Amino acid sequence: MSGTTWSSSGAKDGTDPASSARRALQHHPLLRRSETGLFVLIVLITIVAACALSDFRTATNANEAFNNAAQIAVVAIGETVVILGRQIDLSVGATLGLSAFLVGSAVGHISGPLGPVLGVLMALGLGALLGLGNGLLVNRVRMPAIIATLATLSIYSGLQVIVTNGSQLYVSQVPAWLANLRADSWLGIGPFIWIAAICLVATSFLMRMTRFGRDIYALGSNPEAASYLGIRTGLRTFQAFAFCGALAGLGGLEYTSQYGNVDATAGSGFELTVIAAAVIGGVSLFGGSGTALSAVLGALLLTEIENVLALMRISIFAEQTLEGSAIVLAVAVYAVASRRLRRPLRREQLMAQFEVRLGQLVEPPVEVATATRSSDGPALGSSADG
Amino acid sequence: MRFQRTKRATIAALALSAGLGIALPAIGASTASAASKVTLFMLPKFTGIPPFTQADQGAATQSMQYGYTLKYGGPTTASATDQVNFINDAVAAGDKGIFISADNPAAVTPALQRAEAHGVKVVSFDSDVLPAGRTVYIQGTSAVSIAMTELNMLGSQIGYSGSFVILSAQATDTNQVQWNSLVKADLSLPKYKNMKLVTIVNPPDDSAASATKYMQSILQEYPTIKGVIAPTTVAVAAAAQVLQQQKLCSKYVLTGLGDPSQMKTYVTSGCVKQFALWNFSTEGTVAMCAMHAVLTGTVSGKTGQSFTCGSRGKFVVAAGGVVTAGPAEVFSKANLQDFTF
Amino acid sequence: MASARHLLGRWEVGLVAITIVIVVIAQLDGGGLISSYNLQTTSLNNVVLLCLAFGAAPVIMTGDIDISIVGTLSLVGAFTASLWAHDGVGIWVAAILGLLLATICGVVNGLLVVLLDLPSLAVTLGTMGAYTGVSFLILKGSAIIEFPSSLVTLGSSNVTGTPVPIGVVVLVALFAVLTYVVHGTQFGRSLFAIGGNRRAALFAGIAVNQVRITAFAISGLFAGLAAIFYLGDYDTAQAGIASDQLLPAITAVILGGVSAYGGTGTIPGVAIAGVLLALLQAALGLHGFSGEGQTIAVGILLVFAVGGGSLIRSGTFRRLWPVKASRSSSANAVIDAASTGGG
Repeated sequence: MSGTTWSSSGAKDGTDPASSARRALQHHPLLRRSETGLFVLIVLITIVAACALSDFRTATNANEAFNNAAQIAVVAIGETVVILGRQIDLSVGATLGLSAFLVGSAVGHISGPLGPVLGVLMALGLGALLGLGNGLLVNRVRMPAIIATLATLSIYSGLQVIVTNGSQLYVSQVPAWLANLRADSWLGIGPFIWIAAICLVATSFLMRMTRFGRDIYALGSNPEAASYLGIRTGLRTFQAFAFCGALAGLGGLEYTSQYGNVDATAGSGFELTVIAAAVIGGVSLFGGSGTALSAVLGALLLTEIENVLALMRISIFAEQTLEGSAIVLAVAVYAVASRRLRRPLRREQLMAQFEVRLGQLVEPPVEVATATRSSDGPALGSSADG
Repeated sequence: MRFQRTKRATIAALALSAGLGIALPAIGASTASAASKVTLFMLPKFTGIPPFTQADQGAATQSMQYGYTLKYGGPTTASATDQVNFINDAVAAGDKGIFISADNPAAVTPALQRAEAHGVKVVSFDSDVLPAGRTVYIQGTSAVSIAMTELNMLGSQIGYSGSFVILSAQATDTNQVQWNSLVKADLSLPKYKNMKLVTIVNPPDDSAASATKYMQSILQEYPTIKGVIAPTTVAVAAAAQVLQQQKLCSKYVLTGLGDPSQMKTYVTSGCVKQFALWNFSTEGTVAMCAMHAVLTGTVSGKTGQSFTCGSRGKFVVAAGGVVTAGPAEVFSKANLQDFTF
Repeated sequence: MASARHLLGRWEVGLVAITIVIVVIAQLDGGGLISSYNLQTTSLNNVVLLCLAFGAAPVIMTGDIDISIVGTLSLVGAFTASLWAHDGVGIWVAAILGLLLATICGVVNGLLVVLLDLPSLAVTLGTMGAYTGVSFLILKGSAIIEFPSSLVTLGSSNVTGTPVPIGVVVLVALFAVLTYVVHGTQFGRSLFAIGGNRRAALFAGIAVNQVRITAFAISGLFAGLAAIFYLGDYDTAQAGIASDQLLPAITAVILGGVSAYGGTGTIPGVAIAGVLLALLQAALGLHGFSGEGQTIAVGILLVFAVGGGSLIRSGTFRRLWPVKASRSSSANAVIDAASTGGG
C-alpha cells in the first residue's frame, strides 16, 4: 500500500471512530489491485474473443463497442461518486432524458461556434440542477437516498412527457455539430471516447486530490466518524448529487447525438445499466470503496460481455440471463476478495461502531437515534459494515 | 395512554370513513348527473409520441361533427396494467366509448370485455386487441398492401435479388406478426423469387435503444445481406441512424415504415431512399366515424357492414371486424416536403 | 402481541386520513370513484401490485431489499404457463410447481445475500435480470393466452352473487396470514430486531441468517403468487410482464411506513398505502390526469409522506407537534427478543 497522498502518520491502535476512519482511507490503494485485476480480465476476454470470433476483430465492432461503453462510462462515473458517499441515484436515466430533449432542442436555436460551448454548459447545468433536487431531498428533507431518487425518478420522467408535449425532437432539428458528434473522429478517436477520458481524468483528480474527494470517501466509509472529523456532510451530499446529475446531463447530450430522435422515453431504464456498470467495476454499494476508473472499467466489461454474447450468436434471450448472472458473480467476487484483504481493519471498525451503537441503544434521545439511522449503512442492503 | 388515544383516533377514522362511504356515492351520483353529453376516451399505447398525437387530433376534429367530447390519455411507458387502469377509469367516468391501441393485446382484453359488459363500446386502432374485446379494429392501411409495399421498396433498390433481414418489434405485436407473415408468403411469388428472408429479429421492447442495439448486431451477424426492412417507425429511424454513423448507407438498403418528420434527415442525405407509412390523422378520423356508427347501432362488427365518414366516403367492415382507413403512402425525396407529420 | 400498538400507529392513521381526503375531494368533484364498478375493477387491477408489495415488505423490514420480485414473477408466469401449455400439466399442479420455483428463487437471493454477505440491491439487480432472462428463454418472446377457466375465475371473477372479486378475497386472506406472521410471531419480531440493529440482534440470540433468508423466501413466494394472479386476471403469460410494477410496489411499501433502513413498519400500513395509491390513481384518472400527471403526483406524495415522516422523527417539528422521547420501536423489539429468545 504505497503512495497515499493523504496518509496520516502514526495511526494509533485506538478503536476510536476517527482512527478507524483514517485507516479506512489508508487502505484505498487496495482498490488499485481490484482495478488491475479487472483490467487484466478485460484484456483476457478481448484476446480470447478476438481469436475466436472473426467479427470481433473488425474496426467497426471495436468502434461501436468503445462508443457504447463511453456513453455508459460518463454517467457511471457520476453515479460512482454518489455511491462512494454511501448514497445512490436512481433518477439519472430521467435526468439524461430531460437533458437530451431540452438541451438538444435549445442548441438547435444557437448558431455558430457558441453552440457546442453553450450546449455543454446547459447540459451540465440542467443536470446539476436536477441533481440538487436529489441532494435537497436527501439532506434537508432527510429521505433515504433510494426513496428520494425514486421520487425524483417519477417526477422527472413525468416532466419528460410534459416537455415533449406529445411530440419529440427530430433529428432534423438537431444542429450538425451535435448530430455528427457520434460519428466524428478527433485524432482518430471518437469524441465520445475523448469525453469519457476527460471525465475519467477530471473525476480521478477530484476524488484523489481535493478535499471533496477525501470527504466523500470518509463519508462513505464511516459516516459517524466523518462528522466527528468535522467533515461537512450536508454540503458534500449536495455536491455529490449535483456532480452525478451534471454528468447525467452530459450523457443526455450524447444520447441526442447517438439516437437523433428524442422522445419522452429517452433514458428510460438507463439507471440500472449504470449501476450495473459501477457494480461490475468493483464499486461497493456500501460506500467508501471504488474509483472513477472502476466505473469506466465496469462499463467496458459490461459492454464487452454484451458484445461477445451478441457475436456468439447466443440467443438474444439468453443474453439477459447471462448479464444478470455476471452482475451477481462480479459482486460476489469483489466482496469475497475485499473481505479477505480487509479483515484486520474490519474487526476494529466493527468493534468501534458496535460500541457507539450500543451506547445509543440504551438511551436514545430522538436526534441521536436519527443520526444513527441516517448513517446506518446504505439506504438498503447494509451488512457487516452497518 | 398513547395506545388508547391512537385506538380512539383509529376508531373515529374508521367510523368516519364508513359514514362517508355510505353518503358519498349519493353525493357523487347527484353531482355527476348533468353529463348528458357523450364522452369518449382515446387510449394510446403510451403518450408522448407523435403518431398517437396525430391520431388523437384526427379523431378530435371528427368528433366535433357528432357533438362528442374526446378525452385522451394513457401511460407514460408501455404497460398493460396501466392501460387497464385507464380503461377502468374511462368506464367509471361514464365514457360511452373507448379507442385503444394496445400495449399487450391479450392482457388488456379481459378488462375491455368487462367494459363492454358494462355498456361501453370499444374500437381498437393501430395495435389490435383480441377480437372478443372490441367491436371493430381500424388499421391504418391494409396489411396486404404494407407487405407488398415493403417488398417493392426493397426489391426495387436491390434488383429484386439478394437476402435481407426484418428488424421488427415485440414478437407479440399483432400488426408485426401479420405483416411479417405476409411478407414471407409474398416471397413465393415469381417477382420476388430471388429475394431471401434470412431472419426476423424481435427486440424485447419498442425503444430506440433496443432497435439500435439489434441493428448493430444484425450488421455484424449478417454482413452479406443486401438490406433491412424495419416495419416500425422507431426501428427504421434507429436503423438509419446506425447506418449513417457507421457510414454504411451505400452498402445496405434500408426501408420500412417511417414517420416523415423523423426520417427527413436520412432521406435528404440519401441514406434511405424510400419508406412508407399511412396517415395517422386519417386513422383517427375513421376510428371516430366507426365509433359513431357503433354507438348508433349501424355497425356491430359483422363482415359487410358499412358506414360513411364525411368526405372520405364509405368504409366497409372486412372479415374479423377490420376496417382499413386508407392507402399506404410511399415517401421519397420527391414528395417528402409535402408531408408535415 | 407485543407489537399490537404498532399496527395502529400514527403513520397508518395518517395514511387513512390522506385516503379519506382524496376520496372526499374526488367525490365532491363529480363522482365515479366510489362506484361499485370502479371499486371492483380498481381493486382487481391492483392485486398483483399489492401482492408484490406484501412480499417485499418483510425483506425491507430486515434492512435488505429485493428488486428481483418482478423477475421472479415473470419466470413463474412463464414456467407455469409453459408447463400447462407445452407439457400438458394440469394448471393447478403447474401453479403449485410455479410457487415452489418462486420460493427457490427467493432462497437463492437469500443465500447469496446472507451467506456471502453481499449488498442486496446489487445481488437482486443481477437476479432480476437472470430470472427475467430465463423467462425469455422459456417463452422466447411469444405469449400464451386463454388459460383454463378455473384460473381465470380466480383471477378475474367475483365471488358468486357479490361484487367482490375472488382475487381480492384471496389477497385479504394472504394479508391476514402475513400480518399474523410479521406482527404476532417470534419470527416477525426478529425481522424488526434485525432491521433495527443486526449485530445487537445477533447478540440477543436471534438466528439472523435464517430469518433473513426466510424473508427472501417470503418475497419470492409472494412474487410467485402475484404471477398466478396475473395469469388469471390478464389471461396471458409473456416474458417480462409486470416489469413496470416494481417501482409502484416498492413505493407502496415505503409509503406504508416501512423504513428503507429497516426496523419499522407494518403490513397493514402497506395495505393502506396500496389502497391509497390505487384510489389516488383512479381519482386522478377520472379527473383527466394522464399518465405523467399521475407519475408526478405519486412522486410528490412520496416526498411529502416519507420526507415529512423523517422530518417529524428527527424532531424538526417538535415544537409544533410534541413528541415524547421514548425508546424507539426497534429498541423495544431487540429487548423483547433478548428477553424471550436469550432467556
